[in-house]
Amino acid sequence: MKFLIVDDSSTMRKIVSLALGGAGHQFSEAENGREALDIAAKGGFDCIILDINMPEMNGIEFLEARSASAPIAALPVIVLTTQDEANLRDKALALGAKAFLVKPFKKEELLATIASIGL
Amino acid sequence: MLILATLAAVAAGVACLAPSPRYLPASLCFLSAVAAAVSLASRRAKDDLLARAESARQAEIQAEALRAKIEDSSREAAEARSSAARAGAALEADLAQARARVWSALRCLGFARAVLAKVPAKTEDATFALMGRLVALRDESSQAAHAALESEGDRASIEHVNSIAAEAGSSIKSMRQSLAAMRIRDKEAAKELASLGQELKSGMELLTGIEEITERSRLIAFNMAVEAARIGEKGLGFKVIVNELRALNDRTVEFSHRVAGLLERFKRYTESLIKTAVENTAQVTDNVERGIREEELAIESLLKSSSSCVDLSVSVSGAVSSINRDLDGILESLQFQDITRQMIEGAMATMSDAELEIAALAPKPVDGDARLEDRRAIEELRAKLLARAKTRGEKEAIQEVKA
Repeated sequence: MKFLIVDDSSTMRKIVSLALGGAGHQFSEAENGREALDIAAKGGFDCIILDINMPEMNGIEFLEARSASAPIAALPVIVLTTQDEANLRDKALALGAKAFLVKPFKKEELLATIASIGL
Repeated sequence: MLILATLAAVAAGVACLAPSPRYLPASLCFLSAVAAAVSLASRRAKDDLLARAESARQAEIQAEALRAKIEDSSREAAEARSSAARAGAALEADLAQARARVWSALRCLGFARAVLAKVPAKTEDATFALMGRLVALRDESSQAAHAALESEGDRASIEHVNSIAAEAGSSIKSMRQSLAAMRIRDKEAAKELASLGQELKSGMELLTGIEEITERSRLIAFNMAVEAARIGEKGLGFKVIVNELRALNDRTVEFSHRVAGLLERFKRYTESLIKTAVENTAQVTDNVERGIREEELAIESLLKSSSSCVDLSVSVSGAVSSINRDLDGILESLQFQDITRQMIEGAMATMSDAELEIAALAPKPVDGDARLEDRRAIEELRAKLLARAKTRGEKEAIQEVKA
């Protein structure tokens, strides 16, 4: 499967890509929501791993903006953030995110979440 | 009351002025009333004036007291003004001192922010370098795990080796049995050779008997020669026989010596053969035994190696799993480092806001002396911080701060 990792931290993108690569998945990277929209529009992705706190376009704004594009809106999104807040979780899930994970995460936890959403 | 009486008198007076004598008594009465009213009014006016005079006197007293108070107040106000002026001067000095402290704090804050600004970049570089090494380590451990799995796949080969080793063990057992049989046969052959030696010894003893017979025959020939000489010509025939006997004896002795020499050589050869056979057999059996032992050790070593190989592959597999678990743990820990880096960046942004707020409290020095003083203070602080800095990065950051 191919994932789009959206995070402004290159370290975090690398850590997520190692976890996914170790499980045999492919991946691309984006630094913010705006870039993620552009890359996801090209197609070929099965899932998006999305950070919330990012410059230019944050994760919530991305979730709102993606509804304008049917192919992107159809992609399952797993939110991966340091902000462990109930209202943010509710908002992300209300905007269509399939799962909400908190950093720091365990590799097994991420892979189990991916499996749990039917991927 | 006075007003009512006056009004009544005026009304009566108006009536009196009418041109009729009939109204004279009334006019007198009226005048009398007016006089009474005037008297009453004047008395009251007098009382009123007296009261007013008293009031005026009291007011004078009060005014005097007020004047005294005003003078006191003026004096106090002057003192207060003087005190306020002193306080204002002190406040101004305090304010100047506070501004100086604000700028000192800002300078410290500037250096602190410069040092702190280095942290995220350096942390990210270190994290990336560490991750690169971890990835390389994980790749290598994956290769080791793959090799270990392949070793697990070679278990059939190891079992084949074990089977060959078991067959070799069985062959060695057969060889040992053959060797034991050979030893028995060699012992029997040596025994037979020893018997042959004994027979040769008996043969040589027989030759000794022949030599005795020859010696006695020689003695008989000598006696016959003596006897032939004594009887003269009649003994000539004996002499021929004696000579023949002597020649026979000599040939017998010579033959006997030759046979004895032959038997002696044969005996030595047999003894040598026995000795050589025994020695060779011992050497051969020792060599074969040593070879068998070495082969046994080799097989044992092979079996141990194959067993160790299996154990090693299991250990490698376990170690690789453990390494991978540890690597995952380290990658998880690195997330904390990245989160810390982001927190530092957030703190720096807040620090910048705080700097702006603090700077707004104290205007930046603009005149030449103040700016010179500011620069001097920055360089003093730089020297102090450089002396206290522990790392190269910290020193570099301090050096990079502009005055």
